[in-house]
Amino acid sequence: MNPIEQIALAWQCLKHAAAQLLRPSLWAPWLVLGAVEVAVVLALAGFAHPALSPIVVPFLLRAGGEAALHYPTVFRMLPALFARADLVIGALLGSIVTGVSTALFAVRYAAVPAPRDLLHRALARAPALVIVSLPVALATLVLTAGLARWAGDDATPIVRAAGGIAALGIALVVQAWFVFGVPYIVLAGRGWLAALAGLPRAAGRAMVGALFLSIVAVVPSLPFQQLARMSDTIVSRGRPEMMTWVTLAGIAASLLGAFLLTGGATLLFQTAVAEPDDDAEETA
Amino acid sequence: MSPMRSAMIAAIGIGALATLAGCGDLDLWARYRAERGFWQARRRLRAIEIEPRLAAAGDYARAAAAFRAVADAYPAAVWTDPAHLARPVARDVALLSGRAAVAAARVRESHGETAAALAGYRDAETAFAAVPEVVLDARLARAAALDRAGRGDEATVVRIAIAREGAIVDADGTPNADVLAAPLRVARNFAARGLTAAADSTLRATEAHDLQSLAALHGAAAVAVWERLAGVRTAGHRTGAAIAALRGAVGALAPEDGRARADLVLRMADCGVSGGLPDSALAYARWAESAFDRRTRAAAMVLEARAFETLDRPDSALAAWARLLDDFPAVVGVSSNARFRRGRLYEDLGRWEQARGEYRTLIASDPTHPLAFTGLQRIVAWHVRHGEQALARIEGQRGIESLDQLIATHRDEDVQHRARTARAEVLMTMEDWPAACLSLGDLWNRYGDGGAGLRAAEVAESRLHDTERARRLYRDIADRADDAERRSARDALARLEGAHGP
Repeated sequence: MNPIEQIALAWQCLKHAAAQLLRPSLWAPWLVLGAVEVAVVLALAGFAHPALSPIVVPFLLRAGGEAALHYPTVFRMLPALFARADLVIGALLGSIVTGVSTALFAVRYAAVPAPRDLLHRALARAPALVIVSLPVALATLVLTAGLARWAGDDATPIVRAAGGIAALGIALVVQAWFVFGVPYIVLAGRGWLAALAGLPRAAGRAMVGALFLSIVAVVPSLPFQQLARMSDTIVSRGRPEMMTWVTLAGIAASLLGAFLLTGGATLLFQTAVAEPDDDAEETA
Repeated sequence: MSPMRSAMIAAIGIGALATLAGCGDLDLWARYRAERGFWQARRRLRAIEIEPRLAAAGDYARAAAAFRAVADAYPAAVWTDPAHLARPVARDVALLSGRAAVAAARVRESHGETAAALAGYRDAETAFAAVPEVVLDARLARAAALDRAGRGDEATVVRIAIAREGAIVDADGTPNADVLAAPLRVARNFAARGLTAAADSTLRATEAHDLQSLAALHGAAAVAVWERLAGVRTAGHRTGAAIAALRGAVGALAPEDGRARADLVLRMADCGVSGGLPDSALAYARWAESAFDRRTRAAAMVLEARAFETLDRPDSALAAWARLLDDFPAVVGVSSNARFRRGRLYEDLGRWEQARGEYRTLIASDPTHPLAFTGLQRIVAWHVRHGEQALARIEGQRGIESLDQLIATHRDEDVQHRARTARAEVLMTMEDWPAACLSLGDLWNRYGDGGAGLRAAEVAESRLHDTERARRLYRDIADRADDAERRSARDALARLEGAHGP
């Protein structure tokens, strides 16, 4: 398929995924992930409470230093602190949720009832799902740290903006490359090594479509990322607790994007990437 | 999962939470809530400070109550006991509570409740006696409030306590500027009241204390104490010794502290100029000019020119100012000062054409600079002094027109104020009494300038013989002006009523 055809196909896959937004059964795995992320944000915001401080304070000290234990500094640092925690949550729980969601989407697209042991089978593949999702998490970490180091404290706003755009672009390309890793494991029944080995072929067939899906998936969270960068202004001029709401809204937007990406990638995989001899377990 | 199993899991979870709640750091929780309360109170205060004219009495009361709530929630009786103060986080709570108490008093003072504020400061000082930072805050606030209330003697007593008991250096090693400045303010206050012996005694005691404490200090603290020592010696009119102290401060600086070093060298030059050692000033100014950055160079060249003026070498001073203008033509504040000084030097040398040229260039290049207004007044005044009334009127009219244009086109309050003041002065110099009286009266009405109001009343009385107008002005000033001007206005009213009847 040429790039235009890939984009057209990806658009159709996205539309099909968006049509599933009103199905609560497909949202269930994402709600679990959302609940964990919301709990983390609320724990960070309420770190000083005696019930939470034994657990949260050591993390805050390591991540933000003594300053993070003062009001309202913790709210200035909240988006960055949550992003650190979310790297781990995303790598561990997020990859499993993506696997379960991929299986649910596949069943839905095939218009067959979900097998009773779907969740059990998806969870059994958890280690492979985590390994295949690690590169994306590592790339995000390296790009964020590298950008901060390259820009330095004296970088002009335009340099920072250019760096941010470049980092986002690279992260999207990495995500697009690895987006078919989970469908290979869940839908084609491959192990993690075989799934990674299949990625170059998948990229050859549908990289542009995958990149299109990744770009669309990140759009809902962009405004909240921008607000998160303004945390100093919001805390100084508004109410510091607003940053909790901004972070929670960012989580909701990210989950929406992840839902659409998973649903779209599942259908794109089945249409353009999957080979006839792949073991389509969940739709059997 | 069976209901029994669910209930057991829930019970274990609740028990774990309850246990954790007991394990948590209660001091941290208290500090967090105190910081949150303080932050919210400060937000209320900031809203008032942004536009005080729009603030209602209720706003002040609510801001004070918000600070008071923090102080009451963490009472001194509990949080300043030794057990609490021994724990760093608990000590922070005591500090916040004390600062909130002082802030509550400050809010009341800003609303005009001086007596209540002074009582609040005293109470905070007593209640938080075990927390030196709060004691210092309360004392500084009380001293400043007493000054503002015209009770300078009591303020001096408070400052003596600050100087005697305040720590020069904070717990983190930062020099405490308010404690360092306290003895100098006390000495200045004594000197202003004519108590020379007390002023000298304060300066001597401070010098002895500083020399003793320098043995144990280094870094920023040592630099700050050397600088205070220089200030003490300057106040005692011992310029050479003051410069020696500043050299000590330079010696205490870290090698990489170039900015601070440059500033100290400039201070040495400035000390020499102000303290009657212009030769030393020249030496340090030349050092500063050659060894540091461009900004320091400009300041050094200004000091060099001033040193030449002090040495009564006008030609060298003129050349120095000219060099400054050549090197920094576009730096507006610097060039304006240079032009004005050249104008004054030419004037003193009797070279009026060149002086007027400098003033006119200054007015054209930087019309809103304070010295431009002064230059304009000097042009008119020169002609009046030399009996050239017609030329004085022409220059005066020209000046008034340009000032009126400035007033009409500039929105900046400061520029408008300066332009209106200059306008009134020019009219006074031109002896245009009706217009001058109007102008001075305008300054009183617009800006509450009691001095201008009194002069307007004097002009109305003595030049325009308009006693009624003079009385109206004096009455208004007696109602609304500051203490000293109010007294003068009342005396003048009594005089007028004695001479002309009520």
